[in-house]
Amino acid sequence: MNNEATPSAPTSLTSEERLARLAERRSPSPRPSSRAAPSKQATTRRRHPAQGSRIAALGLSIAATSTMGVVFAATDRVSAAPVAFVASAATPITIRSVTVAKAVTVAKAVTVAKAVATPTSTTKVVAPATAASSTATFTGQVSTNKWGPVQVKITVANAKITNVVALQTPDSHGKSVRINSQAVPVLKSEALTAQSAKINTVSGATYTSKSYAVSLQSAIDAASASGVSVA
Amino acid sequence: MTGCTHVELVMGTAVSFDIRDDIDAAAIGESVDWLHWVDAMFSTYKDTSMITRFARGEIGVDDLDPLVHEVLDMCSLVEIDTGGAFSMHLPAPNGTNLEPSGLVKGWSIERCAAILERHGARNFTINAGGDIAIRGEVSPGVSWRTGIRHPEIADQLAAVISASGPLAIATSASYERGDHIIDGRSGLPATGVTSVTIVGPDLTYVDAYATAVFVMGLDGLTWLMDTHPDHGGFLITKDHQAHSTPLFNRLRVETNH
Repeated sequence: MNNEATPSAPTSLTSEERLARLAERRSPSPRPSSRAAPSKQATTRRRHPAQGSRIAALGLSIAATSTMGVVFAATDRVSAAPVAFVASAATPITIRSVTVAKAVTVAKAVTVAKAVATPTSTTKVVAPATAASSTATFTGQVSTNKWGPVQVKITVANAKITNVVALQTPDSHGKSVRINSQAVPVLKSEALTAQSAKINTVSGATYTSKSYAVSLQSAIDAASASGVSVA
Repeated sequence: MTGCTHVELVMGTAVSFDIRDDIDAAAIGESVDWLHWVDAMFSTYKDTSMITRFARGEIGVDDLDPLVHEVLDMCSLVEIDTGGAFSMHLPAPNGTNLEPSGLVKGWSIERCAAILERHGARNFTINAGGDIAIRGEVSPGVSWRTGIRHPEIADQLAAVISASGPLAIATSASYERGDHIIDGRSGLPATGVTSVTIVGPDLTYVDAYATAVFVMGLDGLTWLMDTHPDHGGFLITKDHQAHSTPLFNRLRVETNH
């Protein structure tokens, strides 16, 4: 949904790689998780000049994370999330000095929302970006919640978050692995009888008033009505 | 065992009540009246229903009951949410192109459950033609056991789930009326899947998502997990493979197939 709404990414790929490389060299992650490590094909030898930027970046990232958490936690039903989120983004929400100025795609936003709202570990800044310029990107560490690993990158321009990109979401890691598959018995002798399963009720395609009489549910209702407990 | 059961033929199907608490007789009466009111307002089989008259231009938006407004709004939201896989802009039996029935049934049963709760019922199920709202337990400490009908062997089950309420369960399948589930994006019948069961907190949406996931196919299960992690899904394809999400599996009772 609304995938065409992806905002522009102001940073070039090479600068990202450079920053990631820097992050690896300068601040070894306190966590064992190294899934955040990007490709190692960066060729630059430039070192990061801004010593104090990491502190600022940390603040920005945490503020961004909590802002997103607030935004998404406020949407109680996900079915309403696209509308609610767009509405929120249209009205900038200010927390500390950081303003969410631009929405990411709705589909990603929903996934990120789930992730940020209930993380089991706090996302921290790994790689501060070109703090000398007015635009910088910050890559969060991989955080694993109950749905899977999550990693977010934000772009900050003039103290405003202009872009949020989910580098990793639970669905980017083996969707199919999470879905359990099995063969459905085809023969009647292998299928599960309602009687042995001791069920109270049956879910199935909507039957008509006419076909109700031959439905499993009608047998259960008849048993209940005659005082035979099916539980 | 106290409580009562009741079956009402309404909305073109049978609605079964199984209430395990002692409640006053007015509770069933009020519930049934509500369902007949919903039928009179929303039936796309009736020339006199408000939805038919609205779709035919006989009445305007300002004439609509607020609850009809509410349903049409919810349909629009779900349509956006599902990328059009669920849609109310489909051919209806009354010859118009307004068919909100895919959400109306679940919504009306959810409100029916609220009526029963207002009358003091805490432990019950309402099964509307295969779509179920569950509250509480069968008896203290005993969860409700719901069978998922086998798509091809009508009197047997493909899976069983055990859960206490509140929980909603809905199944969309092609076996009752053929390929009658229409893809809201193409207007064509959805194929490839024979049965989809969705579990979640609110039958309004569970019912609509069952339709949407049926249309989306296997991708629908990942859509469900990613956008609605409080919902679970169970999908059977035409080649007899059953696919289920972790949340569904948590509710599932191990059965020795």
